[in-house]
Amino acid sequence: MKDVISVLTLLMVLMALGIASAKMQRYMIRLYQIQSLLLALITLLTAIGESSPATLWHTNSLLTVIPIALAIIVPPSLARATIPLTDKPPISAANPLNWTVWVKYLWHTLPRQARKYTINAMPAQQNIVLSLSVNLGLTIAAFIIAFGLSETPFIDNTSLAVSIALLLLGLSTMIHQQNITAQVMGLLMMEHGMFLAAIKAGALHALAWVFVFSLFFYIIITLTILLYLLPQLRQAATSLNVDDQRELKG
Amino acid sequence: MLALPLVAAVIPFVVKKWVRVWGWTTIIFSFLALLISGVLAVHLGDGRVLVKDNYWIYLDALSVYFILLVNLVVFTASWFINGFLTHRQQISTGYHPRLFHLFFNLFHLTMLAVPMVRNLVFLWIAVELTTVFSTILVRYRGDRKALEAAWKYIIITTTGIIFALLGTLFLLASAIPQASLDATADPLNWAWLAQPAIAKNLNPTFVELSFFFVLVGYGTKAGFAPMHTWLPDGHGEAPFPVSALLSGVLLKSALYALLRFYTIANLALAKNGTNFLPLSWLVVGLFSLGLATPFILKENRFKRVLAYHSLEHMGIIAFGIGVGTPIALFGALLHALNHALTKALMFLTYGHVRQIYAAQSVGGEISDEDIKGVLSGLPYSGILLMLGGLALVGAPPFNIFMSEFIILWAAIARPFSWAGVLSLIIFLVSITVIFIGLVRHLSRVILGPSPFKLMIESKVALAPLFLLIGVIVIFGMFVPSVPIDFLQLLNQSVHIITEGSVGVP
Repeated sequence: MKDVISVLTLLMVLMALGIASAKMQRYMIRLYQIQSLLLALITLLTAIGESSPATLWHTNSLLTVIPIALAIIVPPSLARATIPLTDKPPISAANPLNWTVWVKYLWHTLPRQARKYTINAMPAQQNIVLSLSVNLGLTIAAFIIAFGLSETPFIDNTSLAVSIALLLLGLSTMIHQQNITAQVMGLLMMEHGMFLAAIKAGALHALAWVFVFSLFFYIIITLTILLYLLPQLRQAATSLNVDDQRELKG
Repeated sequence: MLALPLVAAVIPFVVKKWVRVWGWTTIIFSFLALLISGVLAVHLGDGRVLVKDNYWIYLDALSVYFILLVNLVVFTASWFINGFLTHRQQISTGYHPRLFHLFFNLFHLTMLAVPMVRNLVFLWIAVELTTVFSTILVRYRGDRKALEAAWKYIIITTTGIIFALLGTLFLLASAIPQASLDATADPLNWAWLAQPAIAKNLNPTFVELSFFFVLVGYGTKAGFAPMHTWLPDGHGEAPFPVSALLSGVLLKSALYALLRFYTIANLALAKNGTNFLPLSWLVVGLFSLGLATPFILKENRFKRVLAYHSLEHMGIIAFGIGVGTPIALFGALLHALNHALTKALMFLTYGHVRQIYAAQSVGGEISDEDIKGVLSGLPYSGILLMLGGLALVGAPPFNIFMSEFIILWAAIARPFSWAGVLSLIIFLVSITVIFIGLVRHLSRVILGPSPFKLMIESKVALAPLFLLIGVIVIFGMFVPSVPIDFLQLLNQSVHIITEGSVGVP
């Protein structure tokens, strides 16, 4: 099982490299969703194989819900945030208390509307070769750091390397991508790195729960604030390009 | 004490019509919080730990010191909320009084929670919550600049703080082997980890790695260079009572978190004789000082200049901690309080002046260039700005002179080393150049003819600022022991930082 988990964690790095170098936001979001599912699978396998004490495996498996929940919540929320306030489609087509109206609104109306704005075309001014090289360099650096440390009693070197790589690649995405929504994706990728470190380091000891829930809470609150600010920023600056947010200098 | 800001936050939703009552409620409740923290400090007496058996709360001298600092600044800032909101109402943009009171009080609540929690993950959550609530306050005006500042603030600080969680994870995970031997052990509890017997057995490599990540994470929130880029934007665009809190208290909350980790790391690495910790602090401190210098010298908006000053003073505090002797730590802690008081005075006075000038001008808005001749237009505020400015640059007989002098003295008293001499030179050159820079900015604001004729100022409105300048002068001459024994509180706090927790709660 350990080998399967190692392969899955390495696949997470591949997804991260894809996100960090993506030229289309649509692909970024898809890769993020795949990465979330990989993380959920790793969490489940770790819960079954490494729970300490072993009887806790079924409780620890519940942590799988968190990355899946984020993979479901993030795309429509991000879509909603990219639409200017004035163009927001109304919800009042039918009874707003009817939950199916909300599901349709969040899953179809908003993403379709958002596609007109930034989900499809991102101002990818980045040089893809350069960004891939930088990101590959960061990944190698993460592996060198993790494997340079002596064998640790609480986390295997591969998981540690992947966690650090995700943190660095998330940071790189935030710095190099020219769009604010891509910065949010970078932040989410960093959260995946932390999540992986938390479940592996705690070996799903009781400690992992505190960390994972803190992280979940952190990402939900931060996302809420970010998604609250995004449409206003878009309205004020007429775009979500980082270059258009440079009123404050010096 | 935590219930007070919570109740004050809820009141605007219960008493719906009287906006001024909301303001007075915030003032009264923050005053009560200040009173309670004073009682806690007196009650602490000779002991170092006040609450240790509670699952959620751990209160020792260091916590009480930071709680006092938070409440002092919050009370002073709360005095100006009514005036600020009235002005916003007159210019009719960005006027959401209920929202302002709600988030101001929630911000107060989270800043109080930071020095109270005993669990290191809850500490991280509390620090993160300060960001969440203050972001809404930074964007309060709702214009493009405020939105951009809020965006940069949340994106930079939340990115940084994730590294603090990684650092926490490394520290706690390295304690698992020890914790698994003892059924009563609580590896998330600071007091357990900070026992010398526990700390010395932590894996030193991981403790160093942990401290590095924590320094990056909480250091971003504390405004240390090079993670400080949110600071001038956030402080510059926030409403002035919020700027006072951001600069005066928020940075210190992150510093508090760093000190808790520093204590554990210091105990854990003591046996190795490594220079990692002092070196980290010195590099961060001197880099912050060095980076702040050119930005204070150049032409800039006054609030941004004050923000860069925060970078400088956080650098001085880090330098003091880096020197590492008990005297230097005493100076660094004292400097944290002194900087909080002085910066609150400056932001509040300048905001008050700006508000009066704006009210005199057409449209109720005014640019920074038009704020000049304060001494002739608003003599009381002018004097406050002048005295506060002198205090800020470290002139005697003000408080910052005292704490900078203590830090400098401690640095000189260390055994000779070329690195020490070099850092001392950088420290002295930076603070001298910064002195010149701020005096230039200050003279632009307070001297010369005022664009408006002599205006009448309400002495009641300025009362807490006069009180504050009084405290600043007192702390510049001696560390008072009445009504609160600050000298004892500081000594106890230094003892906690160097020796760790006193016992297992």
